[in-house]
Parts: sequence; structure tokens; C-alpha cells
Amino acid sequence: MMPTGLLSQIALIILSVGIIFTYISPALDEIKKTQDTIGVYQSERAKVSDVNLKLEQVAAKLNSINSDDQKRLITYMPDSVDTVAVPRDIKAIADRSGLILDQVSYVGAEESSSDTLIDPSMVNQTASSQTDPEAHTFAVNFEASYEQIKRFLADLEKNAYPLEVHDLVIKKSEEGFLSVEMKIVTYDRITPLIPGDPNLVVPT
Amino acid sequence: MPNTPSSSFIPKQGPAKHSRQVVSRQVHLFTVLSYVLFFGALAASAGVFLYARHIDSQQREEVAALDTAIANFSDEKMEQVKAFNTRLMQAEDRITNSVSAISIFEALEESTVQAAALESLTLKRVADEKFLITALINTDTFDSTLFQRGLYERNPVIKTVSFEDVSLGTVAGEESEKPAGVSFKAELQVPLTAVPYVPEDQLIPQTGMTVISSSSSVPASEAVILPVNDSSL
Repeated sequence: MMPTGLLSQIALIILSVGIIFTYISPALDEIKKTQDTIGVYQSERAKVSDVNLKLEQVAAKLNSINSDDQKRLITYMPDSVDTVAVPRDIKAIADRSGLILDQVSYVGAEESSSDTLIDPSMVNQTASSQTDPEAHTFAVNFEASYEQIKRFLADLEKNAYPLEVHDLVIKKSEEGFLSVEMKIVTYDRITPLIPGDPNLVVPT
Repeated sequence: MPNTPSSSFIPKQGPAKHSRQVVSRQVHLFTVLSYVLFFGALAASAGVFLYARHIDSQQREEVAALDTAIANFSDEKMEQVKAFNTRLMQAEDRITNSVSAISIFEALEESTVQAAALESLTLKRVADEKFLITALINTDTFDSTLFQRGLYERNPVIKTVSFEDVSLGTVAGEESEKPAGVSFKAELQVPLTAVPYVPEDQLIPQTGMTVISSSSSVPASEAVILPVNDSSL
């Protein structure tokens, strides 16, 4: 049996308004927040899925590269320079060019490609330096004729990995020969830093 | 005689009684409204409660799906790709900046007169920008020196030319047997872009020799460009 009195009707209306303001309205607000959150989750999931898909595609593309090409790339830009193999190769090139080496020695490594003489205008290019490989310098001294020097330089250029001449001093020597001192630079891959964290290095 | 309303034996409703019936209808409408509002609020509460549960469930599903997607991300593959990309970029950087030192020597050969004798030659690479070349050169006359400077200036490989410490009568080789001539220090700059390394399989076969023609102030006999011979260096 329903109450029909005026007071009970007013009480029902007050109760209804109370339900609306104390439960329904906050619940709807909460639902809206949850829906927004769901939207964010969906958006983020789409991004993650997209990254996963792209990563899969790139990894598949990487694996499809010819193994010989991969070997050539690793030879050209190795993970680390073998400080014994490089002087051996330089000596082999020198032998092929017909000159006799007086000295081949490892000088050291530098983190930038701009090794021997740094132009002040290049100092601010820190962003690009993050992708620069590590330069390793070798000192080479020998005596040779002019044609032998040219042959040696030509053979250095044809090498399977970079052997860049960064410093070259040629002076007259005895018996018509030329005394040569040069710095040859080769490179290995340096791991880039994560942006924003200069101390953190990505493990390889 | 027809019955008139005033002569009916049925008692008529008075105006006061009629107005009481109208009040009774208004109370009934208010009652209906109050009940509709109340039950509507109850129904809405139930609906909101159920929808909230559904939304919570959907949120949990989305979180689970995001977790799954994140779990599917392969760190190993990412590192592999990044390492390869770094290697490729660095290799490309070096290939782009690879130069032919031989081209510099060939440019010097083309631009050095026979009368010039190089005492020493220093070549320094400045980053990935240019080569600085410093040469101590002896010539027999000032005319030869001027001609030599002109040749270097006209060479497309050489960007800037500077002759310093020009002196007559002293020879850098310090060999007293040599006749006195003009000695000077030539400072040349060669941009890396002027001497790029081109692999042999990309070279276009040359069909003839390049001969630089003489300028108006240069004797014809010296206009033909001769390579530097071994004894001059």
C-alpha cells in the first residue's frame, strides 16, 4: 500500500533528489572518468601495438639482409678495433706497395671523428657527436719513393674498413727517398647515449 | 410542458462541491509525479550501478590488454635493431666523409710547375671539413713563384691558397751546392667534398688526358702541367 499523504509525497521527492545528488551524479562522474581512462588505455595500447608491429617488421627486414652484407658492415664498423690486426693489415698494405715500414703503433682512441685538429666551430655539434663512431689512431713511419707513397695511399683507400689519413708529413730523406710520418685513423661502433641520461649506456 | 433544469427533481451540484473535485485531481497528479520521480531515481541508481560495473570490467580488460601488448614488446629485438641502426648510421657517416688522399696528390701534381721543388709536405685533416696542406717549396725565380700561385688558385680542388715566408737566396734544403732561388711556404686548403673517394667500379673511364691551357701571362712552355717528379720532393 502506498502512502498518499502530502508529507509522504514530499518525503519521496526529497529522497529522490537525495538519491540523484548523492549517488547517481557522483557515479556518473566516476563513470566518465573511467571512460576517459579507458580511452587513454586504448590509445596507449594502440601505440604499443603499433611499435610492436613496426619492430617486428624492422627485425624481419634486418634478418632478411644478406649475411655477406652484414659481415661487410661489421668489418667496416666493428664493435671494437683490434689493435693488433690493424697494424698487421697496414703492414700487409705497405708490403704490397713495396715500401718498408719503420714503425706502426697504436696511438689511442678518441670519442669523436674530429680527431686530429678540432675546429672551434664544430665544438657545439654535440648532438651529432652522439652518433659519431670512436676513432682509433695509428702512427705509421716509413721511407719510400713518391710512387710507393701514392700506391700505399691508394691501397689504404681500398681497404675493407676505413683507414683514413689524418696527418701526413713528407720530408726529403737520404738517397732520394722520402721520409713519411702519418697518422691513420680507423673506427669502431660507439653505443649512443640515451637522451636525457648522459651516464646511462644501452647494453648491446 | 417541457421540463426545465430548474424544475428537475434531481438535486443539482452546487459550485462549492464542484471546486472540491478539482483540488482532489491536483493532489493525485502530485502523487503520481512524486512516485515517478522516486521510482525513476531507484531505476536510474540500479542502471548506473550496473553500468559502472560494466565500465570497471571494461577498464580491467583494457589494462590487461595493455599489459599483454607491453609484454609482447621484445627488448632483445629492440636492442638488436638499435645496434644495427647505430652501426649503419656510423658506417654511412664515415662513407659519406671518406676521401681520396690520392686525389690531393694528383691535384698537386697537376698544379705544380716543373721549376718548383717541394722540400716538405704536411697534410692535416680538420675534422670532416677540410685538409690543410703546408708545403715548403723552392723555385728558381719570382716569376715561377707567381705562376705557381696562379696554378694553385686556378685548381678547382684547392679552395684557398696562401704563400708566406717568401724569401730570395735561401733554400730550405740547406744544400750549399744549390743555386740561390726563391723559397716560400704554401698553405692550401682542400675541402673534403672536393676529393671524395669513389670506388673503382664507379669510376667513369677516362678517354684522354686533361691539359690546362696557358693563361695570357704565362709562357706557353710552362702551361703544360707536369707531375711532380721524385727528385723535386
